[in-house]
Amino acid sequence: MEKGRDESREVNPDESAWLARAQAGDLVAFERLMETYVTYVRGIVALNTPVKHLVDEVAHETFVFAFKNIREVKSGTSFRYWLAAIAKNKLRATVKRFALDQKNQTNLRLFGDFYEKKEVCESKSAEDDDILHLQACLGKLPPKMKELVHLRYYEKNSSETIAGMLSQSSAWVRTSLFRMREQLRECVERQRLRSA
Amino acid sequence: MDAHWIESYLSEEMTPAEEASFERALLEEPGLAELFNSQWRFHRALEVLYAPDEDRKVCESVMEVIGCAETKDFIGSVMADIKHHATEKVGWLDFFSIRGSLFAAMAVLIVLGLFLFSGVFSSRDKDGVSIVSGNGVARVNGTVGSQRVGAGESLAVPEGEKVALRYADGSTVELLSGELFLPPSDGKKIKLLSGQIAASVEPQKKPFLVESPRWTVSVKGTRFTMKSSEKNDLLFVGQGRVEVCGNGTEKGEVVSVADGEAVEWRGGIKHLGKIQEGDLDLLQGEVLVEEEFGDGVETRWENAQALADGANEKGVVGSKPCQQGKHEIKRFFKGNGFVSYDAKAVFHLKIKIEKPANVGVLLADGGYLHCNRSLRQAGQWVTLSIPFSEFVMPASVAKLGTVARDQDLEGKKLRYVKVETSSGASFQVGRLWVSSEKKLSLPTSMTIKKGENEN
Repeated sequence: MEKGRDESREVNPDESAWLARAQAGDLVAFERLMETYVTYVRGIVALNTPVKHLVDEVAHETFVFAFKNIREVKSGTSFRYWLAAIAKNKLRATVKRFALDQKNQTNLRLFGDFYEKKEVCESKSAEDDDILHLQACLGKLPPKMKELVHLRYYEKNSSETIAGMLSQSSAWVRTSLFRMREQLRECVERQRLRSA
Repeated sequence: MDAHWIESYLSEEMTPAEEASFERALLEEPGLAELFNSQWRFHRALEVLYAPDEDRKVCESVMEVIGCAETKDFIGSVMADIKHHATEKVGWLDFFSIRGSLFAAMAVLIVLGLFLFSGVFSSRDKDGVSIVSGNGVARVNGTVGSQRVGAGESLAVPEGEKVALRYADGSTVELLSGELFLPPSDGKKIKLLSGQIAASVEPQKKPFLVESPRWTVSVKGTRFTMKSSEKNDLLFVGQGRVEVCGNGTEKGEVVSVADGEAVEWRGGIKHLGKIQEGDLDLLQGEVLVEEEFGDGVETRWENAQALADGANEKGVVGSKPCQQGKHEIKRFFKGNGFVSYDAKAVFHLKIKIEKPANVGVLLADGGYLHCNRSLRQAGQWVTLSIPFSEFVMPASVAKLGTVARDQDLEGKKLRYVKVETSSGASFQVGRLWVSSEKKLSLPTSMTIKKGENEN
């Protein structure tokens, strides 16, 4: 990805000013930056963590680390991708600790080999924007699918309940939710290719 | 079929046997595992992106929902932490290492400002307490800063908001809901009138006292969470140790609570042993267990007391109260009595919890059988009807025995009783779990030697 083009398209004009103020120790400015990127960071962690409850823990550590080291962000560097790199490193370290607990081994095994990767992510990777693509893709879902997402993830209804509400079978609900996530995955991959 | 399986697993709608079978398939079929991993990533991301139910009022549209109120809480907690770090950082060593005269000048102004206007560093105010954040940020005249509060003042937070207090020695008390009062005192003391606090108390020479209407907690340096409501009080110690002393008629009773342990007020101070901090919200749930037997025998439990109606042997005198809402609820049988079940039995569990949770029931005799159910409807009474056929026996447990013994389980006696019915082996309820974790931690084995303590 061409960094310059990406920056001009996506960076909030106030961001550079907030960053400069945060680097001078202004907590309000740092909070503005955090408000801008909190969903992004939590989303990146959510997409990659084997256990849901690690999301906030890792995101929290990411922002505290970012605050302590914010003077390291050089002019022209993308603050977002700098945060993403911190989040991924923090996640890897947290999962390593988590993996020591034998009780959690099954979750890690099921989740695949993400944590086997040894490289330290210091620069942007193609997956860093996945959470932004996901938000965009959610907006493009057909109304029926949006309703399904709402009922499942917002209202947290069971398949049986949703089936009753939509006058469908629970098998239909389960299959549709599966397909919806497949559609989102494909959409995210398309967006990733497009932005590259 | 894969779609149906994967969704059922992600939605926690499988029986334990189905879950075990699915997990085996994941390990054996790389194609299925790959598909599952991709689904799981997006499932989790959607769960995180969508705000919880209680934020509906604030977040109207689907896109607004994303990261809405959950995020506010999150930012508040991170900012509190960062402010703590920021305060620590303005020490002499850091001061001299600050690059640039502008920042140094700002630091001098901040320190002078604090010195002149807030008095935080004066000896007179060594026990001074300031509001350092309200819903993440306290704003005084548009800037983040300290707003001092003093003895005789009370603080209340509306639902969904919170306020953090910081003492001059670094101790912090977050009022997460409800109201607290700062009574006149020659030491540190707060009174939680209702709601919940999370406190982190620096080592104290004289105990930091936290009072509720029912008890007083004496703290010399620890991290703990405390809830007080009309119904009961709850205390969880995250680190260190506190002493809890009952007020009123219970005055004089002192209970020591250590790391990871909780106590609950239930007509007196009840020690709940070790619990998971995340399960504190489940503690105020209530449980009513009713059992129905395939052969028509029925034992009904009301308010967690067995009425011993129709059990197949006299002498079922009931149990201790179920310790309502306890993370791990156990029923202990007194005497030699027992309750039996046969293969047609259906277990009706009526339960009310404050947050979605998993519920597990264990039937124990010589070995044990268990089942798990996911419960999503919070805040209302729900009846779970679990057929006996859904209970499974782990492979690690040998054939079920028919002998009994008393077992010391986490410091409490659990009685396993010989059980016989016309249809063969049957079992008694051993334990009931309520857990916020996806997987309930069931015992891995429970071996009983034939003839041991046979009744």
